[in-house]
Amino acid sequence: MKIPYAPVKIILADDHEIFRDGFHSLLKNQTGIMLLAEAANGQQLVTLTEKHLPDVVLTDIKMPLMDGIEATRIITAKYPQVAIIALSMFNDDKLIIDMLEAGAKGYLLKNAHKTEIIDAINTVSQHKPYYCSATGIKLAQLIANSRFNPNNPSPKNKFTGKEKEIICLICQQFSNKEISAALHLSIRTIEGYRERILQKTNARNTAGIVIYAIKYNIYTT
Amino acid sequence: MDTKETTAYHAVLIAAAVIGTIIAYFIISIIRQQRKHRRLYKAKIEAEITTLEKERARVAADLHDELGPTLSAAKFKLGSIEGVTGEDEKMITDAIKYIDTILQQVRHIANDLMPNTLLRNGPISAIEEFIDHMTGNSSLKISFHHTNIPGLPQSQAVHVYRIIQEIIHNTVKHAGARELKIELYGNKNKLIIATADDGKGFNYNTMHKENNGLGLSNLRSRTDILSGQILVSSRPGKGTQFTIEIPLFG
Repeated sequence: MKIPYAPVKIILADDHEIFRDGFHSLLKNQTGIMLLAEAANGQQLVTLTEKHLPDVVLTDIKMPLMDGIEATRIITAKYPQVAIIALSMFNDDKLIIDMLEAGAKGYLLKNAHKTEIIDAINTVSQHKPYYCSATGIKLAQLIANSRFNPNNPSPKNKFTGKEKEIICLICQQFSNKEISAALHLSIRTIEGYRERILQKTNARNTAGIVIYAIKYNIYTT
Repeated sequence: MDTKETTAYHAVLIAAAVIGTIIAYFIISIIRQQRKHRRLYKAKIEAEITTLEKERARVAADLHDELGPTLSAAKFKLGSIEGVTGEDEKMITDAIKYIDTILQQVRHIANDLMPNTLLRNGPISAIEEFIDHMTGNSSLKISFHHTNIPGLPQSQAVHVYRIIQEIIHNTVKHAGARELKIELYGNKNKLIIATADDGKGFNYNTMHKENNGLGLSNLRSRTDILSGQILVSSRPGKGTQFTIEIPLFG
């Protein structure tokens, strides 16, 4: 169990030294996150995880010697307390699904913004799933129908009719402004609804809402 | 018949036989030569296209696997600069935005060259993805149905994907159609691609003569490599239909 307020200890794995260097720079002055070690492939990652026992591992998927999927499988089996985030260059849908099914708690695009990377690290360190904000509808469907099953609460009629309506519009990529125009409600009201929906679905962003909605049949495509 | 006539008759007969043999020999060797030529031509085209596809895959992989992480790293470095304000801060934000744009472009170029989906999930997913992409970028309505598709070796899968991609491209560019229907199905030992559009159609002979049909000759080459047969039916005002039959081995 992580001690409250202790920094989140992380390990990064990627076969590109330049990428690791860039990532290191990004987090060097970041309080609350401590980069313990860097690995250049899956084998190194497994060894370093055994040695340092981090809270979170961020790993590339395609790597030489051992890929991120295999490393995730090994780490999850041996150290289930270690939360893993998959790093993907673009939306490599199939690889992301493989990572989630292997035991990763979340995924990020490598070009994600700093604030999102930090948010993702903090989210999975509390053993909650994290879906990158750039998730498209296709990937959302694949995740909802995959074997990936984070412990979200089950939705037993806990959404009001209006909430369900808004969830469906969110799934159709409507912005708050567009939803407010469609439902003749003020933007403030919609923002309030969105906040409540995020809480009820235990999601961090729109991607989380969409995956939840498809998984529990609130929205059908 | 006197002896003179018999001799002359024999001489003519022998001459005719010799000439006949020579002509037959020539005809046979011309046919052989032509067959050989055709075989070599097919092998040449096949080698060219195979090299092309290999190069495309290599360039796409390099763009995706090498350029991407480096650009991301540059973005991280810029993002980690602290203590700047005003103009300089805006400068950094802009530079980060530009890197994001470049990353998007790299992604599109790589995907155009060789879709990741094609190599990883096969031709059906790749075709669906391409249709999704085209539907967003043109007014053509494309429907795609597939049944009974056997697993294809990757080289075949690439050709099937490119054939359908070429037909969609041609339809968007030249047909002026509202709708394109594409069917792909396995039938006994054959894979069949059947398409139909409601466009303005074209005159096959004119197209062939004027050598404008580069897309068409691409279709032919790829079908040839797959030892398949292509049937084009198009008349001005009557739309265009393609039927391509590809034998499946093993």
